[in-house]
Amino acid sequence: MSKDGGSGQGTIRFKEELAHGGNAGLGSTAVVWLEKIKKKYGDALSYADLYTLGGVVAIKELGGPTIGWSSGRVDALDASAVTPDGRLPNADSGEAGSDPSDAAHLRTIFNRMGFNDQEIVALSGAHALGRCHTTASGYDGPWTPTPTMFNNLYFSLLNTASWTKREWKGPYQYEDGGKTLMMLPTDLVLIQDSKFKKYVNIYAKNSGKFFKDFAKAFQKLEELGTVGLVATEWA
Amino acid sequence: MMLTKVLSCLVLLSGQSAYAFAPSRTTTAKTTTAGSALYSTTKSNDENGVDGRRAFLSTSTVACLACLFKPTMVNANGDVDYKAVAADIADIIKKNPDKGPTLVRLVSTDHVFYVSRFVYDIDSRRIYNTQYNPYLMSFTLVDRHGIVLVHMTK
Repeated sequence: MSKDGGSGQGTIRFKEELAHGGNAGLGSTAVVWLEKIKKKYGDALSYADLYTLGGVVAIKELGGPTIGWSSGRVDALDASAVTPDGRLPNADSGEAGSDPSDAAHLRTIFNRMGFNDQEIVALSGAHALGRCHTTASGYDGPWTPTPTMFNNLYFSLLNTASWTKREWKGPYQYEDGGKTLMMLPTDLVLIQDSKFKKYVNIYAKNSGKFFKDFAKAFQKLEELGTVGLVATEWA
Repeated sequence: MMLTKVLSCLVLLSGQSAYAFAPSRTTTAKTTTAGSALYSTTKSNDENGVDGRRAFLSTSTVACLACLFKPTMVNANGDVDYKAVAADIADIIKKNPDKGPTLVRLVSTDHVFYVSRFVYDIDSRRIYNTQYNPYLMSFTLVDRHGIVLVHMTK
């Protein structure tokens, strides 16, 4: 795999990138929803700005922090800018921790983007939102009982719930004692690796600290590979 | 929306037509249509007379027609009204909160492909962050405080 790369040019709108395994389902959902707004505002609004603004607006609307956002991203004109598949972190390589490279894998993916352990854990807190679908990723279930609320419950549950392997024909995942919630092996590794767990503990106890660190890390994520952005008031 | 714009322009044009053929006087015409401001001042005097006013009519007619095809929510200086965009996105989520997490996922996966490289000093402390974007054919050198030291594009 190439050691360089980068996106942020709205390339996920191209079918070549939507075909990546990690993007399953997005082509018929989020991309379609935002296309209506794109048409309303025309060429003055880039896809890349629209998608990134969509992320920060969604987090705020779901109860999360107000994240700083900058405008000025320039769209790629065609699919030649689409990066190869395989750059998203794998959700599992079997039982969490069974492969010693699990934590290393997470670090490899995120370190190359410039994120440290604390930022990796903070960004993982986005799993407070949403759920997995067997029709998309193959996994099944929500991480928390409040999948449309941005909070630090993901970290609390990692620490307090009893996670066991789910016995089913689907991919390797964990379920809680009530069999209503799930965790991926890459979630569980956050409490198995002592350096990651340090931050899980902090965020489980301190929601404000999580919000602050998440906002900073998410803004950093949204500005990777960009130049000349202008801080823009959006809220 | 388009109907509103058409009606606005018709009202505007009818007013301007009346002005163009009215007796000479000093007039300021200002209209605002969906965030786009047209501001024209015409001093009608004996030098310009009816011809001057008809020229104004032609100019403003073109401007009115142009505004029909102009993106609705773009300011006069060409900037997008990002607060309006954010409000439109928020509306999607308010109507169906289940869509919110998917919008977060969209942007998370769209930006997870970037690769940065670090430059370390002799004590292994990170001092610079180099960012190469092959699609923009650009190279950026950023110091540890995030200040761009060098930015080059092909």
